[in-house]
Amino acid sequence: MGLILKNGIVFDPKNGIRGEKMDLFIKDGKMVAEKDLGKKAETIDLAGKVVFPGGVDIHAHIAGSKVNSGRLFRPEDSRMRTVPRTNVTRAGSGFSVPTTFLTGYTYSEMGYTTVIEPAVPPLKARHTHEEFHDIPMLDKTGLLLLGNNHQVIEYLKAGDIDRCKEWVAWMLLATKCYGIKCVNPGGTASWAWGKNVDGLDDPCTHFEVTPREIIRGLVDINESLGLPHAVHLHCNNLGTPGNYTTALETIDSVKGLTNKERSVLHITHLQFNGYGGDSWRTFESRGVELAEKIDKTPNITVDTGNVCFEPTTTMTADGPFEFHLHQLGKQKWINFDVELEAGTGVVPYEYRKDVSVNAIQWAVGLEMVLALKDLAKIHLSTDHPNGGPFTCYAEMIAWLMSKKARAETIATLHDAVKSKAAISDMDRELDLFDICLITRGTAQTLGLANKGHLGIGADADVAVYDIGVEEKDGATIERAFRHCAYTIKGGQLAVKDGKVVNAVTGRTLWIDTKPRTDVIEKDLRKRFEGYYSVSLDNYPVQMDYLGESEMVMERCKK
Amino acid sequence: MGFLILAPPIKCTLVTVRTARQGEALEMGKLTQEYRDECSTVLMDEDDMNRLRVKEDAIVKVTTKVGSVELRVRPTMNSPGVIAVPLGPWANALIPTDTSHTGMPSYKGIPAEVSTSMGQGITSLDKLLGDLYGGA
Amino acid sequence: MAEEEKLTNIKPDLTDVTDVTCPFCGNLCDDIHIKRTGDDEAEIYHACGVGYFKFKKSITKGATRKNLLRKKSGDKKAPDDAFNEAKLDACIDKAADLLLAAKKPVLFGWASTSVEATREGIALAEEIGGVIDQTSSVCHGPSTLAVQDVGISSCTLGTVLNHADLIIYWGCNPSEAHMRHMSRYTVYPRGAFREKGRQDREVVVVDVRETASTSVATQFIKVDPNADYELIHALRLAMKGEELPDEIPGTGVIKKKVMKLAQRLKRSKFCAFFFGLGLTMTRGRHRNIDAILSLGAELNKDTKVVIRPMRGHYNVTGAAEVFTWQTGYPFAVDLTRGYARYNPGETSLVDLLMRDDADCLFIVASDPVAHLPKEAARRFSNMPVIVIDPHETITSKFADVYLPCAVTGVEAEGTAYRMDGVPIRLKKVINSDVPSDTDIVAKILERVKEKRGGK
Repeated sequence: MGLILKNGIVFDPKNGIRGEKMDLFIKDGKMVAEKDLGKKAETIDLAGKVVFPGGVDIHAHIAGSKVNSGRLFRPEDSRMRTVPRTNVTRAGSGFSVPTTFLTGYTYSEMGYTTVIEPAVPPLKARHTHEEFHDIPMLDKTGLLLLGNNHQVIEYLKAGDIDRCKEWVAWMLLATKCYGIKCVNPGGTASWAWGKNVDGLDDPCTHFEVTPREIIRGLVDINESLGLPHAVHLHCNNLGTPGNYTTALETIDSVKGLTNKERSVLHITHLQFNGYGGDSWRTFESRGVELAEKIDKTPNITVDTGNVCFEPTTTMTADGPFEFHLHQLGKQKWINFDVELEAGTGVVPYEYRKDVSVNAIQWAVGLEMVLALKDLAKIHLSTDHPNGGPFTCYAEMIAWLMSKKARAETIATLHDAVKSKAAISDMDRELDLFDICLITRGTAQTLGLANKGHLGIGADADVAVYDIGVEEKDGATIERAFRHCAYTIKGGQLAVKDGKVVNAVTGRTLWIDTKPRTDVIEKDLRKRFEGYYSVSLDNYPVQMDYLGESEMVMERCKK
Repeated sequence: MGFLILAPPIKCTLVTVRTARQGEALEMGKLTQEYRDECSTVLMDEDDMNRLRVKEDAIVKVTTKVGSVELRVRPTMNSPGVIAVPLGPWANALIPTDTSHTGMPSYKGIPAEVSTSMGQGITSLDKLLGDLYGGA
Repeated sequence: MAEEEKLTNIKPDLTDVTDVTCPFCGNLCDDIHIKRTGDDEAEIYHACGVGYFKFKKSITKGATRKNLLRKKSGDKKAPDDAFNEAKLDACIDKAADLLLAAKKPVLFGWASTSVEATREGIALAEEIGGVIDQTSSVCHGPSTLAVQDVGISSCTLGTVLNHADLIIYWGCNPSEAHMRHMSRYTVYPRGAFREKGRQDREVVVVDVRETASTSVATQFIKVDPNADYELIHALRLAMKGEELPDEIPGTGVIKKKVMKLAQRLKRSKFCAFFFGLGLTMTRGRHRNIDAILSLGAELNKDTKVVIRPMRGHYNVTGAAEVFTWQTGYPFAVDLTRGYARYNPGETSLVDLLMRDDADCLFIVASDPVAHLPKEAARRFSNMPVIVIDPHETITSKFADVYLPCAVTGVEAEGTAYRMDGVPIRLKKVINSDVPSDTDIVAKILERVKEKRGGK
């Protein structure tokens, strides 16, 4: 049975559609031309509502070991949002760290259809896939933590790029992940000794390799493997006053490298590296400078990492940063080092309107977008849940679309937002096309050819919002984007009037990196027989864990 | 048979424990003789055993405020005032149910008394299970 | 103990399976080698004594396992009342009826089976409106309560293997309860940054009595029962440079021993604490854990310190993980109203039983009558009980319905999480004459939905 979506006002930046009234045709889970619809089709009359491709969230911590630690040690977070079961949906809980079923339902009710889990520790990848299995409504994939992997660092130190490349390829296939994630490269490796690094050229403990060497090494390998997404990087010195210089240096570290299809480096939650000053007292926004740098740099993309004023839970693979936050805020702290590979930390945090630093952080995230000319390079995120739960996206969209909404919020914030940030003077208001671009252009950055657009052959993932094209009222915008009118997932009606009507399952996306295991066999044996606490045979994630899945890409051997 | 001069009971603290033999026995089967044998023992400091005038494998009576059971005693060293009973139905007959609102009863650190048994033999599993009938 | 043991004369190999994961304790050793040498014979390598018996029992087939229905349901006069053998479908039907008739059924166990089985259990609890709890609540539940208060600085076991130079076992006896812990993960193996193995490490054991573990220790501190809270605080004070009295009051420990431990901690580059039921089951319960976790967090200012609870059952960690990612809470989850509520001390098994606030018990992969205080165990005799377990147990004597199931990790596949949260696949080594508990619970859930006229 086909599906016709009639009379929608369609936005599709990839295909240059900017608010055109048009009908859309769906068959067997794909967007098709009208002539290929077949005889039988249902029709939904969208009656002038706005149509976007289904949302693709490029960076949200939704599944895996540290996410579950966040849930486990915060029963208070579960009590803040408790949702009973219905005859269609399972029960769920969690305000900033929702449980798996609730994560799927809530995203779908916002019109999202694909979400990337951005930090998978290889040894525990199976856990991420188990949680993926229990997240309905969404297609999912994971980015693999490799920037503090001991074997990777040793190969880079020895200049053994060929072996490093096959090691990375092997790890990606063993864990069924999509791309390379690098978090505080060198820093979390140092954290196994209780230390950190303080910049791109500070060698890490024991290995004496610099973050710059790790980033560049992984970027070169990523290009050589032809992977669909750039290296996804969480910068060094996150969260520190004055750290915007680290962001600028990091952007420059890949100067000259090009890729026709996509960026070569994706810097994530850049807001957290957007600070001037040299102390909390002199803390100020560098959002505008970062936007200028992004505009000038052809080969990078970023996502924002905005903050919202909600109680939330920070969780990153930046072990030393989370310890630092625990000492600052005196909140309970979970730390977890993963042997030979990674480290994570989880600490509750609340962004408050009356705290100067939080007010400035809020400004940084918005300034980066509003000052940026080329919106194809930037994507909306909160580094969920670090900057705020993903349910805040609707509020962020309202701030970006309405100067009045921003002004209303600024009036409630600490004065520092006026003196230490540029936001109060910024008049720009994004329109729906822009919002569509910064929330769906993610698919292009990720190399997901069938997502983020509504052209023929795309996955039939569609979001419909009950909003007028010229709407400017903040509260109305927020309501519309928080609960959409319809979500179609894989051609099936999933959400209607903001509520799940059909708990559809999603797929796990993965890539076949075809590693040359013979090249690294000796090192695999040495690592596993000598130093890992599990056997080599038991390490790779079996295909059974993926359930419904789709291999998105196969590596071509040159 | 000579006259037995009974030593006074010894006050001590009871901990219930996992032992390697208990683990092996429970894998052999909860209803096996090995399991019953291991779970119906009590480990007691050698010096305390001497004060009680009992030898290894003697039957002793262990009492807490919840109840008492007869167990076979085995010696251990350097644990004066502490007796250890493997987790199982015999230990359960000695454990109070108060969880202090945490969900967890006190399985360790329970005030207890060890005295010489009056010849009843080890409390049987059937008796222990039979005691669980007859309502709350 | 010899690493390998042949059960009979060597017969021709049937199968030879390596890297098998042992489904007994939280060590989740995944290097077991099983070499089938006959229909019910095998050589079993690398397992400890307990793991060895676990595999041996399953491979050496005993009597055929039978589904059992109590002849007179609800009329329990004594253990071992007559049971009738019954077909699987009749038992499933009866189980569904008993659950549907109950106002507040409690589904308990889960820690000794797979995540896949527990998923079905949570779905069943939600469908019938019951409470689902797992063995944590009488084991490391207090540890979880403490983590929920103060957090925990921790790591995988391999991190300890590679980095640690000081191992502290507090209130636990790994030589008897986690027998390969020291040889696989902590004291003996050579690590990437501890190439000399045992010689690169110091071992401290704190306990109320001497055990097989204390004989391994570089330093053994004997503490009086119920006094760990005071001793941990004395150590915290010593680490902050505060003065201590000559004897720490109430602990039986002299200042010199505490200072010696403090000095070891100060010169350590990476210290790993492991604690057990000696802290969770004694006076203070979760406050004892709170104290040790807070000590660990404080010490991270100056050195690297990690702490791990010694989880007993092989998948108690996995049960907590799946409970949490599905409901938001790790144990004692009340779903009677169709949403999750969590209040250990109220929604946990022992408290439910003692308040007579349960009216049907669904026990999977656990033997609570063998492990609960007798007044709580008594409640099993006055309400319907459904037991799903690979073998008859003490609890199954009280059952109205007993369903034998495959031994997960020997006769059925599944996923388990090691004590440090590392998930490992459990292999199937032999065929089973009975279904897995995952399948059985799924069938009961399906039957409940059918009887309700639902999906």
